[in-house]
Amino acid sequence: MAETEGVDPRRRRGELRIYLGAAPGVGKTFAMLGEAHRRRERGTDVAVGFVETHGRVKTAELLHGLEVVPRRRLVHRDADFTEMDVDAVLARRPEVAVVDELAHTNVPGSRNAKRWQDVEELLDAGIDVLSTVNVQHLESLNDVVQRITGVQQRETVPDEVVRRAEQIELIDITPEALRRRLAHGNVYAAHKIDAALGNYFRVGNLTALRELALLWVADQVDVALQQYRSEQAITETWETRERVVAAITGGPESETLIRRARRIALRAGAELLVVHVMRGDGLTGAAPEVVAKCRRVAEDLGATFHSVVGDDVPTALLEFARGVNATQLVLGTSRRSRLARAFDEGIGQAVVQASGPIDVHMVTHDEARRGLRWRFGRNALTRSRRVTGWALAVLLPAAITGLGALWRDEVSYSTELVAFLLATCVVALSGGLGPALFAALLGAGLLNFFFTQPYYSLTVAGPENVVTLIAMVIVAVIVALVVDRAARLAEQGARARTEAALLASYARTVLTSPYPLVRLLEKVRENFGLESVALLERREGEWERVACVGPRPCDDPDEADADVPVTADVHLALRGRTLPARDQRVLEAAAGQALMALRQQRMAAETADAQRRAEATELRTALLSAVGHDLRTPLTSIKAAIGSLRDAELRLSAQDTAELMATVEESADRLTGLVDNLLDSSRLATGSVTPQLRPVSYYEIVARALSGIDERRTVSVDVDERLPEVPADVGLLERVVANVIDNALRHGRLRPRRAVDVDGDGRIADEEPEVAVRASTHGDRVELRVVDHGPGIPKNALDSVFTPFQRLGDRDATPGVGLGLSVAKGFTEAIGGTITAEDTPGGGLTIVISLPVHHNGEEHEA
Amino acid sequence: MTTVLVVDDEHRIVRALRINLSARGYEVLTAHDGRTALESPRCAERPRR
Repeated sequence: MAETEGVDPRRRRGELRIYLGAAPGVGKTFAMLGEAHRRRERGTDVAVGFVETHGRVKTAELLHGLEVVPRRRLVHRDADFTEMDVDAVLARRPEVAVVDELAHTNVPGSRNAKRWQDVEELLDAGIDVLSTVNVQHLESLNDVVQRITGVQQRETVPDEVVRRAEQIELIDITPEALRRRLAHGNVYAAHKIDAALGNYFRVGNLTALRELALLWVADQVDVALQQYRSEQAITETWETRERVVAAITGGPESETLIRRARRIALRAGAELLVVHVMRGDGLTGAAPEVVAKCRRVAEDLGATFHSVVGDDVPTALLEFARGVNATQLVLGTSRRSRLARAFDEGIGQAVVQASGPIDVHMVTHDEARRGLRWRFGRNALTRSRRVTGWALAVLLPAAITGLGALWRDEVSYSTELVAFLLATCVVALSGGLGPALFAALLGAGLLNFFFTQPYYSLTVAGPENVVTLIAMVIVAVIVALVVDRAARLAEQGARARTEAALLASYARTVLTSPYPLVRLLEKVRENFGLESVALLERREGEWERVACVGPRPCDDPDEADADVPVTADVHLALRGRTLPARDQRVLEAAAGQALMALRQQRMAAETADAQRRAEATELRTALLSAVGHDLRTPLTSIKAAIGSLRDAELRLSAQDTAELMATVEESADRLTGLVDNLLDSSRLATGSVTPQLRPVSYYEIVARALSGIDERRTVSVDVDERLPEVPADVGLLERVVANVIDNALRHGRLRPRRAVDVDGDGRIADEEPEVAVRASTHGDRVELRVVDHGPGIPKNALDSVFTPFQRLGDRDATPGVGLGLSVAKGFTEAIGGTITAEDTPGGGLTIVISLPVHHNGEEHEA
Repeated sequence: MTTVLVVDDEHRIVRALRINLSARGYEVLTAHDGRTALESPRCAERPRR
């Protein structure tokens, strides 16, 4: 439908304007009708297709003065319904139609199932439409909204339809204001207000819905921006967010530059990207250790570090800056002397001229104006060297001639000859073959013209002159060839160094990055200025994309602008530009690294899988041995007690019988507790614990927990009844406290004072309370501390006390599977609390259960 | 009379055995770990090997 736009100018598609709200009652219809009035006053022909006032007086008032197209009446299941009469609106053909509630579902028997389809018809007919929609009706947000509000929305409108709107106006209102509006009866009838305020219109709900609406619109704007940019092929940056790019050369000033850029970025609240620009020919090769240091500094300062290769530094730099949407660019001032700058304007100047909307900061530093260090012989024949060569080729012979003419009587022919030869050498050294030959010919000519007889003529007088000419040309050629060769070697060396730097950086990525493959491809894309890079693998004859970065990655090596095979079945497919042959070598190496990264990633996945399986096996073994021991012990007690009770030969006293019965019961309790913990562990593992929160006091919880513990007289309790209540599930919190106290009793026991249990009731009479339970408030939280004075746990193992089947510092004798604390932790976290282990001062273990204070607010009503 | 020393870390097992053995006419001593067992009066009377 959208494609017909502009194809037929006589039948222009209507424009859609949507008023988007976070919830009913925010004022969408009101705003829409206001717009309708404004347009009518401007002389536009406006008609109302369908507006539902919901009995709201102010909305109904706004309908006055607007022409309303009569609705269509429909009977469905013996009830009367009214819908928009699409035909009537089309026949009426207003310039603007007002149609409320885009997401509305029409009564069966209508022409279209959904109202948005009616609206599409109006738009196709060239009628502009004003409409409204609530964020919960957007299809893509449907399940999110359901999760937030618990209400399933049956009326939805495809996002596409809303996104296609020419204009979306968000009607934003704070949750508080909406609730006030609701309370005043502006939205719903009086009898519905209380229910609405307590349910759908809770502050939490409204805040979440409002955020959804804002984000959706923001997203919409972003999509529109990106679409526009790609449609218009815009490479200019858009200042949606400040981004500072600091360009460094790897010279000694780089660090200063990064720090200065960081300050600039901080002031602007911007993201900082540090980019190291390497020349493709490697001529400005920086020492790798300096670059590595810069990378560290950048990363320490929270910046990201990038490297870019480009033959032309300003262009490569600006391409990178535009690519990342940079708004500011920080450069160092040139290190070169003023004289050197006179010949070539320098990178900074070139960048400033081409930077367009990107602000460029030129930062001075200590290294500035010190002048470039003399690097003769390392430099290849750059443009500036050739220019200098040509200048010397003209100036030197001229100067020699001038001087020779001045001191004609003192200077012999041979001196002049030597001077010209020297000049030729100098020119060859600086400018290479061309200028050297020119200087040789010019020198020979001048020599002939001024210094051989006949003077002031170019007559070749004898073999001597010919020899001179040939000698000078030969010298020029030989020196120039040597210089050229040296320069080429230097260039090769520099290029090799750039390649080595790139390869080292790839290798480092593969070795150190947590996601080596993607990071590596990203680096290749960045370094070679590509659009997308994809690693393809052939499986059973079909190409499959294993990893990719960038937009529009290739799916087949044939689609690629550059295809680098690693093996017959793994190719690196690049898109964006064709690459010169000399880049092929580095790319092949990068592709090899990518394959390594791929294998490494797969191996890591396999290892992780194997490790998981090993851990599961280990856990199962631990479980079996622990459960085996813990099940057997109470069973043995039961068996021994029952055996004695049933033995007819034994004459047992009434007290003995009672004790044996108690043994059976206690052991059965112990078994029950163990089974409970096992079941709870598995409930926690499957995530099927659903706490029912209500305000409770620790006092009540501790009392209930202790009632199930038979050694409770060794527990001292100091929990004030008046402490604030905490939101918790009574059952779960009771289990937590009981488990923690039980653990403390079992592990935290001091050595008994009397070694042998003489009275033989299985209890040591002369002991003091060994476990203390205390509760206190700390700011917004109430903490319950269960303190024992047992052997305690090494500091570095404190966290692992909550791991299942972990019996830290346990001597083999201590009973318990090690599930108690693990279950306690799971339950505490399920009810929104925290549980931590710490040292008891003076030895022992303290477990702290912390829960937030209950507030009388509606947030906790859920 | 024969004296029996019952040693186990599980109190309930010790208790059940103690009742059973006493009913059979033994004198019963109990301990909950090896060290206390060795320190019990009858054991202490014998020379340590």
